[in-house]
Amino acid sequence: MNPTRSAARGLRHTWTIPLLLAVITMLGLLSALLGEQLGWKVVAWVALMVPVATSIWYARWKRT
Amino acid sequence: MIASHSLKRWYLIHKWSSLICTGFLLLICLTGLPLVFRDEIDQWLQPHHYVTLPADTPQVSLDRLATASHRLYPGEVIASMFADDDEPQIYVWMAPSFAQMRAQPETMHFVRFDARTGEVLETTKSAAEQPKTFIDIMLALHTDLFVDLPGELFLGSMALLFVLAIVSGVVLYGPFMKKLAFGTVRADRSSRLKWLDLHNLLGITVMAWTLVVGATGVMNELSTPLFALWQQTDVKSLLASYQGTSAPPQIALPSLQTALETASHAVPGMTVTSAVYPGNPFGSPYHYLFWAKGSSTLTSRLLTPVLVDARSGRLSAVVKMPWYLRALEVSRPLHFGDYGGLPLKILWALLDVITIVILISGLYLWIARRKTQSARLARIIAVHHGDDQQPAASLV
Repeated sequence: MNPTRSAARGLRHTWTIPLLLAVITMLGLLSALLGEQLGWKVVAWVALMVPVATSIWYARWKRT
Repeated sequence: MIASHSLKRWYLIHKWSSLICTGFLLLICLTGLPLVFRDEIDQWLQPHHYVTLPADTPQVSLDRLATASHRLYPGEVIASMFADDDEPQIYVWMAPSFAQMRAQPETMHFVRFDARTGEVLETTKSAAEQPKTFIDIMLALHTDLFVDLPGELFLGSMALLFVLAIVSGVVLYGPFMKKLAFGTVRADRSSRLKWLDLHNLLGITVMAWTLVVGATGVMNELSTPLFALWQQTDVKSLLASYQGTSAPPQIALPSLQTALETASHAVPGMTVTSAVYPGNPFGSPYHYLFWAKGSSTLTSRLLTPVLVDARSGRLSAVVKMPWYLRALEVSRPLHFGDYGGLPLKILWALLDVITIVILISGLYLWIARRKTQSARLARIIAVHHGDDQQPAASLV
């Protein structure tokens, strides 16, 4: 395998989940601000629950 | 990939930016916790009760409230009126004089009226004569450490360091996690390693939220200088043509209620929430200043000033806000978390608690590292003096 390919794979390995969490958080923050209907508020609640639940899940239950 | 010398630089940036701000950030996070639920706590400590009236009961004339307020406090000036849209109430803020208000803002006090009946619901002594409430103390510790502008700028710079600590922490996350799966917590080895993993895990998981709340916190601490900048530039040129004229004394002013209606007509679709009297340091010497807001979650945070001439009672201008004050207004809800009901506030509080864990674990990691280093140093010194049993080779 060429080195750039494996570097890219390493980056993906490290950053996929953190980036996903960041995007979900931002979607949550903006949907409650820009959306008027209750549905958008619910989207925000669910989205912001994701980083909170991830924190608790990995910190509390998942031990390696 | 990051070269090792630049990694070392990022590590030093992370270490020092966090070390300097951690103590203050802990204070900010702890006091922020009750502030998230400020409205609920206020309502709980001092419940407001209202007589039940039909929903379409019209609002009382502001002129009646002005007369009643002047009768309650003869010789004082009305600084502003504020209508709460959550509750049928209108606050009339008063001061002994505008000069005194400028010199000692804590001489201000308010009369609270029922917005429909015009009945007095509450009167207060000035802030100087009143004991500080729990929320007042939390707010001061959170925003200015009881010393106004210098405190705001100081805590603002701590928040800026916090943002720097997050950014440098994110840069360090990559190399630290190179060989580890997301969420790895090595709990079975040293406690330092476990807390390092937890620090990294929690830090990266709530990174977007801490960045947003940190950056909007910096923005909020700049509100005093930003408003001053606006007053010195746009507002000054707007008011230049009125120079040399003066507003009549308060009792001879044109009707506030009529001025309110004039202002409301000028901004269709918006609601006027407050009226600032001419002469108020936060208003115009020559106008009634009305603040109007939109009706959606976002536009209700974007305020538009409307000026009504204090001599003729005619509309002078609907003022366009500069971009930096718009940015400040948008940054408020994103800092407070008060724009998505109670569930959003609860999530805000949980994220705040996670941030506290990140701060404390960071502090612990620094102390633990120092301890290992000084223990190692002590052993090296001991070996150097020849009174240690351990072979020197094990120290390297």
